[in-house]
Amino acid sequence: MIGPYLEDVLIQLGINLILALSLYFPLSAGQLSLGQGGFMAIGAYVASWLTAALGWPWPIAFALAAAAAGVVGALVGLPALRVRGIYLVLMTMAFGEIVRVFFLNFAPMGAAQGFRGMPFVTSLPLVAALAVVVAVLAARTAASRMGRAFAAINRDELAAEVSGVDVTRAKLVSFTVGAVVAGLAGALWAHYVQFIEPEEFGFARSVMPFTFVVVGGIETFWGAIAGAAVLTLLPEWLRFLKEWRLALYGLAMLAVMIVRPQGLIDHRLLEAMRRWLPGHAKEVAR
Amino acid sequence: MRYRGLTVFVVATLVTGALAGSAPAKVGGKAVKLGAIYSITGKGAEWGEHSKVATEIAVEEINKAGGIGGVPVEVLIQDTGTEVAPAISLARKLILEDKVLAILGPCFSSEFEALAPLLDRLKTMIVSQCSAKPGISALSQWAFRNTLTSDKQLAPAVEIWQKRNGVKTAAIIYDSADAVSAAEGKAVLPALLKKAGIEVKESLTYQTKDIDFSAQITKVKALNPDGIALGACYQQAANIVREARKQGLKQPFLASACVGSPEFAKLVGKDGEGSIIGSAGWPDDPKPKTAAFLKKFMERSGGKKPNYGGMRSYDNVHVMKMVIETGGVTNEAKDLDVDRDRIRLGWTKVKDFDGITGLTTINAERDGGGKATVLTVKDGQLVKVDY
Repeated sequence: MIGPYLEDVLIQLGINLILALSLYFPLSAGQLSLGQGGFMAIGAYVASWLTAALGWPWPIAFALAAAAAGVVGALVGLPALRVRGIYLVLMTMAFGEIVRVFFLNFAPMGAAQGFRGMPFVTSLPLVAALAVVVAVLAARTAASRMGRAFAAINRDELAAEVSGVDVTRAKLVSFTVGAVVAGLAGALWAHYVQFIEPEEFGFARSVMPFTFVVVGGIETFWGAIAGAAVLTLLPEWLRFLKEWRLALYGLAMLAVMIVRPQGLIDHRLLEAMRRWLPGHAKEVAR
Repeated sequence: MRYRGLTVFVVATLVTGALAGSAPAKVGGKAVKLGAIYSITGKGAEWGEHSKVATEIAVEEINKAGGIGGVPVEVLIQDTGTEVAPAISLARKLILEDKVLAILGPCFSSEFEALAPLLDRLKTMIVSQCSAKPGISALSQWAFRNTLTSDKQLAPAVEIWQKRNGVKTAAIIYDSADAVSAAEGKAVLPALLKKAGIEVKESLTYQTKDIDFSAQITKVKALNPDGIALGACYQQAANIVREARKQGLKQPFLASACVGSPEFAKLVGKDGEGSIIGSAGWPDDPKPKTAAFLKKFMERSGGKKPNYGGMRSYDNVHVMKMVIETGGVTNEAKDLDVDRDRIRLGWTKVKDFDGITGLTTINAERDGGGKATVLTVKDGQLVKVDY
């Protein structure tokens, strides 16, 4: 039996994990997005509107919320993917801000006052199941033709294009899938805390998955998972330090970046693990 | 002399024991366990830190005087980081795992609003010391706020502001990203000003993290109202006041809730002279109880004066003591559910409790009733205005 507190922490971990994977998709194709908070907000607000205001069943609401985030993701992706590197980062950041300010002024859903009335849906089994589904999707994608196209673009976009990869399409797919997954994380979040306000989805929320992925390692999706797990659990383990825990949390992050700039988990580590556990980890190393 | 401390302790224990004996039931157990969820880090750090220090002072005082009904009180203080998710998980931890009788906090309305709907299931009361957004205690019969919502803080402040400065027209500047400030700017202030016959020339907004207010002040300058009303927290309010003086505006300011911190007076200094602030506690109250508290607080806070959230936390611990001692709480493990309900019931009956913030009464909405404190800035200090 796990206690209710551990259960809460694990639910938050599951949502963070899905959020981290939402960034993994575009990042695996070399697209750094700092607008995941915006997609999460769209997912959270759309799902909340459908369940709280219209009384729709949550599976439909969640699906539509993720789809809505995906549609917006594709619309943003079209122009955004013409720019690269730092400009893309800035553009996605600006997008996140636009979404936040939109909901801040969107009176039908409470504006700055926030919105409530959603049922409690996000139980631990549900979060765990959805996290596994998203992780499997990430694993399957990494091993697929599309995943290899992502990797090729990530390594050298020009070379990928010359080799016949449809770069624009691949980038758009990676960006849209990321938005769908972030929207799902938002829907889960809204039906866990049962009260959402625009400030929850600000820039800090967009940076969160970024730190998860960077600390965990950007080479494989296992990095995103490990990063989300460590960075969600660490502040809880450090709780006994009271006010100092966030300082130590920062120090720990710094230490990881110095000792393992490539992140906690990289291909070499996975390779080593595969040799250590023959048979089991063949899939893992992909 | 060596045994004086012990003697006092024994006598105090006997006296409180005797008093408790006359109550319907005797408090048992090894410790009376309460929880506290305060925002000790994050954007609400000052409010949480003050609440924490004040709670520790109250706990120490109560335990020195023999505890609650002869049993020492213990408050498990947890930090929410001023975020919603930890507020929920920590409250659940305190209620379900630590089995506390009741919970003090949280301060911020967003945390309170997220937590309140869960209480019908958790069946444990919480009492916020500073959440000021009107209406949200209605979310659960277990949700209490021993503080005045900003409409109650502002009502007398508007009158005094108008009378002192002959205000006929006003401009409102508010933080559209902060729940309480936005409620003040959009709803509370317009209604109160209208009622007082003051014309609102314009409502201007900013967002919490803004530091430059020259645009808003330039606009206000062009409109030239008689006064400026703020829906803000003290950091931004101080910058707005200073910007106004820099641009040569002499209008008096009106604010409430989040501005009611001694830090505001310190930051604005001479520029804020005469500002009127609706609040829920005055740290410099010469009343002996308050003065004694202020002395203890400043010793522990490095000379900082408490905001009203801190003061109300201190009162809340003492109200808890009264409610537990008179409400028949047994503090036995088997009675936990009944005890929690007894405490809830006790809080609904709190009337004219003499605390350091004045007389505390909990009204039918489970919010603090009683008189608001109106403060003004004088020589860099918050001074109470009598009315």
